[in-house]
Amino acid sequence: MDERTSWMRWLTDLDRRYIFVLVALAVIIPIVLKKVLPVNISPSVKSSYDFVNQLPEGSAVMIVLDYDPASEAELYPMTLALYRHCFDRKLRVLSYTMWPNGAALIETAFDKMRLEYEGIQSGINYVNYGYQVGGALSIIAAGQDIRTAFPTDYRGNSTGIMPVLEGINSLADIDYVIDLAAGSTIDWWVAYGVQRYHFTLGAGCTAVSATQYYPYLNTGQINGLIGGLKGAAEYEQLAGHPDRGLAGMTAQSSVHAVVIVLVVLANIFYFISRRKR
Amino acid sequence: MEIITTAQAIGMIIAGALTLMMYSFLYRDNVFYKFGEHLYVGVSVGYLVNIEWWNVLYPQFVVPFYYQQNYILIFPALLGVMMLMRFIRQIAWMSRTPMAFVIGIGSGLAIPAVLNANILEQLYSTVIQLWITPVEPSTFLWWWGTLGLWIVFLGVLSVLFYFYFSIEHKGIVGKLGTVGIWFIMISFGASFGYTVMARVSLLIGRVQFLIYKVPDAFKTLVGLGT
Repeated sequence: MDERTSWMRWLTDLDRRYIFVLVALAVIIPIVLKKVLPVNISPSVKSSYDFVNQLPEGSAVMIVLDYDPASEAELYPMTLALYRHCFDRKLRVLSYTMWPNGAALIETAFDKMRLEYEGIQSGINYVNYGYQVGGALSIIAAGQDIRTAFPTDYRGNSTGIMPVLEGINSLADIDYVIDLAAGSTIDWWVAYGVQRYHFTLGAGCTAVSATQYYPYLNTGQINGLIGGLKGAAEYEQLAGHPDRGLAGMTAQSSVHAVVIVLVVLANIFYFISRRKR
Repeated sequence: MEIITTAQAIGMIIAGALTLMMYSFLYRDNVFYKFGEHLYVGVSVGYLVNIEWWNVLYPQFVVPFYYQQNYILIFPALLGVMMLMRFIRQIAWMSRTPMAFVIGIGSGLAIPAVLNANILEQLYSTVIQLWITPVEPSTFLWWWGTLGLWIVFLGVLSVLFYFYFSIEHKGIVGKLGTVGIWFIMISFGASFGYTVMARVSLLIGRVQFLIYKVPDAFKTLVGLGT
């Protein structure tokens, strides 16, 4: 066995745990070093940002958190970036979730906002409707009469006389709805929400499902799409609130570099070994 | 550093330990991983039952039925109970009625809405809109946008031809089918790239938690934090 063959055999038989270590190092080192690189802004994220940015003070934005802690890494930075942008612009924020484990995430995010933005209050500047059962039916119900659909907030307070809902009777009265989804709820918002009640819809999703929603963007059924951690980082950069999204993108880039190098190397060795056979 | 209560700090340390237990599977299957896995399933179910009771059943059935005498709610509640009869073989037939109700309502709502949103709207954008009206002063943008629309049109047409099996894939049909394969491969590539990004993002989230949050929790517990 010549030297080249033994070296190649060692590489092709490499224990995959070495690759796990390599990926772990590619993630840990940039996070420990706290190196933050700027990201390129994509038009789909920019259009969502621009739409929120042009809304006049007091406009109502519904941010729907259709995810649970399993997708928190990608969608929670997006949530915080959107909340911060809305509170910077003095907009009213309405939130709910169709995922049972999502309600506590909304409350945690609003708790964080209360610490960052002095004076904002539940029922006046924002409302957390919590978990709402029914899936697509909750969209239709909110489109008919939002107070009947969501009579109480997360803490059981009646939403009937909340100042934050002044002038809002249904989804059609909301200036912008944005669904941050780990599942297929964006499809429901397009089919049962936009088509029936004619409001402007934006979407944020995990990177896995981003390709699935680009067709909606091209047809104008959604006006913007924030995809995965990169989308969150872009929104953070646009809104001027760098946080976990941007901090994670350097690690993301370094892992991508590792994956690219490994894919190229594996292909080279595959073709060399095939030629030898 | 964020304000962390003692209870939160304990929770975060447990979460950190459980994260490490789950990642220990990458080395090999072990008792710590199994413990974490079983605990996750158990806690998830317990939490879900609790949420469903306090957020759905109690406010939407118990309160209006018991305290506000809204007795009509007995009908949906009965339908719900009948659905559960599926688990008892002798009376499993009772679940057919609520099932038929759900399928009927679901189909009635879904068919026109989904047909319009996912087929007609998409079809219109793909086939009818093949030119961008030049509103921008930049000719390049106009050409670029129009080229994009034609590529999408060609992609849809060629992929449809690839999946059309009533004609033998020879000549122009065969060539179009081959172009369709290329479009499918490019689509799979984009999906794979995004999937890698998504999975790495989850790892990044956990690493950020372990590096930033868990040490803060320890500091809080030993009295060094806020």
